[in-house]
Amino acid sequence: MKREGSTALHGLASVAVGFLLMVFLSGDPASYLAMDTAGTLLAWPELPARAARIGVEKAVSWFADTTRLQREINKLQAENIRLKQALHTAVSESVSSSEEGLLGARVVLRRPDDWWKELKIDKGSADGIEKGMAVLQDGFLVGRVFQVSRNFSWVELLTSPGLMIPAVVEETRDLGVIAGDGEGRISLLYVPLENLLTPGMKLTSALVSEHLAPGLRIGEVGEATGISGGYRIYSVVPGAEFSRLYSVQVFVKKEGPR
Amino acid sequence: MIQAVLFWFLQDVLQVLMEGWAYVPDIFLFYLMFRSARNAEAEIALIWTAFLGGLLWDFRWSGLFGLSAGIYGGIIGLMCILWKRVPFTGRSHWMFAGFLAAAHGMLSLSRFFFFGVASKEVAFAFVVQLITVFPVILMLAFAFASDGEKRHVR
Repeated sequence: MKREGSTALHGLASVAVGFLLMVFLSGDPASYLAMDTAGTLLAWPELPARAARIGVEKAVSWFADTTRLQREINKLQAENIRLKQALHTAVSESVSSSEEGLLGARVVLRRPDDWWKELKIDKGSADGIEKGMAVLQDGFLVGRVFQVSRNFSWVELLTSPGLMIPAVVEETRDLGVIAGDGEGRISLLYVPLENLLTPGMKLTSALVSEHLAPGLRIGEVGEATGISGGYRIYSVVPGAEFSRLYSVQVFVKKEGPR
Repeated sequence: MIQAVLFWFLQDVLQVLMEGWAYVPDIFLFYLMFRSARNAEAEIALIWTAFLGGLLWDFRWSGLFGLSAGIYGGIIGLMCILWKRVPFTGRSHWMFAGFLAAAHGMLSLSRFFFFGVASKEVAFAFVVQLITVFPVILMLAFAFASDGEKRHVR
């Protein structure tokens, strides 16, 4: 009976310690470091499994005869982005002094509790990734890097309420701000009431910072969903498939001669 | 202890293979439940082994530090107490399978409570885990029966 009491005590203690850890460590910046460290430590023993997974994926892709086509599409998309970038050189000289490239990365973690807010990719500062860089899927913006360690990076998604990105409506040149609601939906905010937009109009990023270049495709304008503070709110139909983010491309910048 | 590490690693490797598609069954916890049903002497060590394994799992996968650790430790503690209360003649492999299924139910409910189902893909991952957990439970139940027969022969 005494031993049963001791077992119960230890069982309850483990639950209590777990609960306390959950309360005090959730959302702490150190938690990202802990997760990256665990990922780095386990990277070597997990290597065979990861290689097997990549092998299977490649085999499936080969059978579907899409690998070559995908490479061609990626090349064209990168070229398209560079051309759009060239169009905006008048907007920012700093952008014109660099040349961009797309760095492929695999999504290695997408936590269920932060499904629409962030994800982790298998490329970090060692691969040239910096905080603030744009992350794309098939040429469409999905978010930006907000945390970088040597081998991993964390990406905040457009669907996150914490990420707000200035955007331009291509057809009308109206400026607005893209923001997520944390539940998979994206809205275009701050469009003046008198400027009526129609569904299907193209949305691209406006100049935000030296990392997030203008002209990156975001998606299309959807239906008007409401009015707030004298501005109309529109839903956004994103070009990227946020439910199927298995691999992404990071828009890395390599400094060239000025 | 080495076997516990191996089972944790097996669970981790399976999750690497299934990442983005499904959640794998908690093989590490099931193994420790197997041990707690068979080895009544090391209950406290098993509870804290479960806790540490769960914590490492949280660091590697769930991101909600302490969730799996607390649940794993609590389930092993509960298992140790309840299993001893089952009459000796009732401690069959089917009863053991029932305990495993109940543990999986508790885990799924708590994860459902804390994580929710943010998208169709997450729901699909939960369903795949539910489907794959039954063969695992059956295998462990038969391993339990086989282990019991060996002990009986000895």
